[in-house]
Amino acid sequence: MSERDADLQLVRRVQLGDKRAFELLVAKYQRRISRLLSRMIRDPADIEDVAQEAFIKAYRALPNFRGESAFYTWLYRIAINTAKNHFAAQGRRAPTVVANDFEEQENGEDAARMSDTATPDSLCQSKQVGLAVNRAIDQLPPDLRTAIVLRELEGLSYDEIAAAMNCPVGTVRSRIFRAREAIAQELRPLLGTSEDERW
Amino acid sequence: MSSGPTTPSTTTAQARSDDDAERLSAWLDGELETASADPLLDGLLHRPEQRQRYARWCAVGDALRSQEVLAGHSPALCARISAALHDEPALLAPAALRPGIKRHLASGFAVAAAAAVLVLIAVPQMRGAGGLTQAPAIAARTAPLGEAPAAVALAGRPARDPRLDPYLQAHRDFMGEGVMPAAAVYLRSGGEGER
Repeated sequence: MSERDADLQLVRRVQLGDKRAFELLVAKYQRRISRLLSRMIRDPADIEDVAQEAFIKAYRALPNFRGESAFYTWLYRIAINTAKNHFAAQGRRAPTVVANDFEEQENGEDAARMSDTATPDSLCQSKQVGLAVNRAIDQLPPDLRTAIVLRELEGLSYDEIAAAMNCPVGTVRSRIFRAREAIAQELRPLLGTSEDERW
Repeated sequence: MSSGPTTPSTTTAQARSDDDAERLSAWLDGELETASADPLLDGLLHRPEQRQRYARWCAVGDALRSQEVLAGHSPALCARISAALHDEPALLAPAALRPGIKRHLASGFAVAAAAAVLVLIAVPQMRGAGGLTQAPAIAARTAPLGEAPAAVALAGRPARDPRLDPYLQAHRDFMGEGVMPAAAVYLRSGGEGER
């Protein structure tokens, strides 16, 4: 099983009528889609409108999703097309260079790394996030820090991390879980989440 | 840390909760066996605290990979999409299964078509190839070299001048066994028949 399979399991649940499964996909990909759209659309309110429309379009089209590509790749294309339609409805054309850049990239991660359209506000937010993340990582015990960095930044599998850290896979699993909890706790004020919130 | 009294049952419940959370973390990374993922997914979909945990961990992953992506975090957007989803009809299972069924049907038709092609074209050719490859031998027996040239008509085959046999034999030897020997013989015989 892979991360892509985990998404596919959620997709199958949605296809069988469970909307909550789609909410989990929204929770997972909302930030990446918003970031992608912010490369094409300046107004934050428009970004949210187009992101919402893209997710709802994806939900309606989900019966036709067969899993031949990763769910995110499929969602990403829907978001790009929704943004283009947004410009067309306003009688404008999508920024050509930006739209082409995205179309040439299969992996949205790369698009999300580009930052030439950052505003002072978004730069300030990014800086705050960066400081909080660094603080959270610094506070982790070394074993937890290594495990989460190898997983989230290097993309290593649990087996590979176990080999690198010379410990059982079960220990890796436990370390990554505890690291996630600790970082989430540290980022909670920044994420604006509390225990009683839906997400 | 809580300093309150702990009973064995609360400890057990806590341990089970931690174990579920740990398995959820592994599932998020695609590191859980498919068989044990289904019950976990049921718990994830039905327990709000598990959903919140899942959402937080997704945010943690985004934060670690890109500060800019996390800066785009908007709980309000999630709430908006959730509200919009309430107005959408739930997707129905038959619609979800239809593509798969279509695919199975398509592959079934493909297999049937391949079998039909095999039966209608390839098998007769293979049968024909056996008979035709024996034809020169029959011709050689019925019209040996050196005998007076006579038109020999084999059953169902047009007659041909036996003086052409050495030429045709040399031609066959030159061509050898190709990738479609049966078809080659058929083509050659057809050509011979026209003469």
